[in-house]
Order: sequence, then C-alpha cells, then structure tokens
Amino acid sequence: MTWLPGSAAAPRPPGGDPPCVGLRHRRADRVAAGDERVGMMLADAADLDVRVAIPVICLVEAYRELDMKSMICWGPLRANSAVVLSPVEVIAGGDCAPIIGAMARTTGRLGAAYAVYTAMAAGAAVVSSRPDQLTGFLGGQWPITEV
Amino acid sequence: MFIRMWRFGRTTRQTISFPDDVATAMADVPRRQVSAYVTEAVRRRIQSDAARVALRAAGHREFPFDPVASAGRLAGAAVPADVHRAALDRLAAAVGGDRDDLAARLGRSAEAAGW
Repeated sequence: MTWLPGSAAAPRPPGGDPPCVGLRHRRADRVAAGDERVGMMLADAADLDVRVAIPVICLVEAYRELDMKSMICWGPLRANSAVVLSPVEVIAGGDCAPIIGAMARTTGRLGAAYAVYTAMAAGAAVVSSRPDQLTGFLGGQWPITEV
Repeated sequence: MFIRMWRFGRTTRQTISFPDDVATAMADVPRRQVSAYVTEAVRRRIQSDAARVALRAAGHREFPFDPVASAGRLAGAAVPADVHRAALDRLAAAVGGDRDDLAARLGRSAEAAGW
C-alpha cells in the first residue's frame, strides 16, 4: 500500500509536501488488523486534506498476503476519501514501466520499485515495513517511517 | 449569523451560533464569503469523520480530530531538495538515463496522477 498526495484540488498541508506512504505486503495483515501508526497517519491525512496513494502493484502484493477476513477490512480503508490508487502510468513521454522494471532489479520487488518511483515523483515521504528495499535509491536521509 | 449550506445541489439557510473566539476570527472573512468559508470547514470535518468510520471498520481505534497535532506529525514528511536530487542521481545511474530527463518524466507522471 502506498500513500500518495491526492487530487490536484487538495491543498498541500502546512509545512511541506504531502506524504507518500509505502506499506510492504509482508505485514499487511497486521495493518489491516489495526496498526496504530498507519491508522493515525490515515486520520492525519484526512484531517489535513492530504491524499494517501496506494500503488496498484503494492495493493496486489498486499492482497496476496491477506486472508479473507483481512481483505474485508481493506474495503473500508480503500473507500476512505483520503486514499487513492496509483496506477502505472504509461502515458506518452511519461511511461514509467521501463524505469520501474529497471529499479526492481535493485529493490528486488516490483512493489518496492513502484513505491520508490511514486515517492520520487511526488517528492514525498514513505512508510514501509522494509525500508532496506527503498534506501538503495532513496538514500538514508529520505523520510521513511518503518511500520 | 445566517449561513448557506450547499446540499444536494441547492442551498438551505440555517442559524448557527459561534463561540466568541471563532466569531472574532471570522470577522476578518468578507461577509459574502462566510458561507463558503464555513462550508469548506464543515466539508473537511465530514471527510475526517468519514475517514474515521473507515478506520474503525478496519479495526482501528478512535483517533481524535486534531489538525494542529496532525500537521505537527506530518511536518517531518517533507523531502529536502538535496535529498531528492541525490535520489535522482542514483536512479539515473541505475537505469542509465539522464537525470534531467528522468526528473521531467517523473514530473509528467506526477502531473498525470494529479499529485
């Protein structure tokens, strides 16, 4: 799951760019059951009119790890107005598929590569349970919250 | 004070009382913009409440509505420009592209996504 800054109409929060949160699939079940920090960040995003984007690849990876009960929990979360899905853009001049594929050779996972791409495109922070997969590109100073 | 509330494509009038501190702050809002001002605030609160409904449905606890605290928590989410540039350099080196070209491509992706 990845949080991205949201609609163009959404004003940016005071103090900087909106957050981009990547949530690795390995702990998706725990998050669905109520990870405190993720829940609070979603609430913060809603309170500040910031959108949280979920890269589609990360979402698919997350569903791969979920049982049926947890999948049901994700329905309301995805319906949250602060949450938006981020598709792989293949627009002319902005086709990100080759870059994400190349990045995945370093990150070891397509979802991590997509989270990095999204974070860099949005210039936003990341939340992940596997920051080690992201720092190869983002570096140690990029704001990453481990959950 | 009378305000207009946008509802299902029309407006209705409702009387609302404000505490003195809020009324004082709103004195700076042009009279013709008061309705829009209040409507925006209410819509934001509706969005926050809806988010909490979704979170509770997913098993989360109740999180207090506190935009000031929220802003403080997210203040550290800003990415410094030099950190962003360094990441672009690493990306350019890894995929064999030009940094400026990659930055432009990322920008187009962001624009297409409406970020």
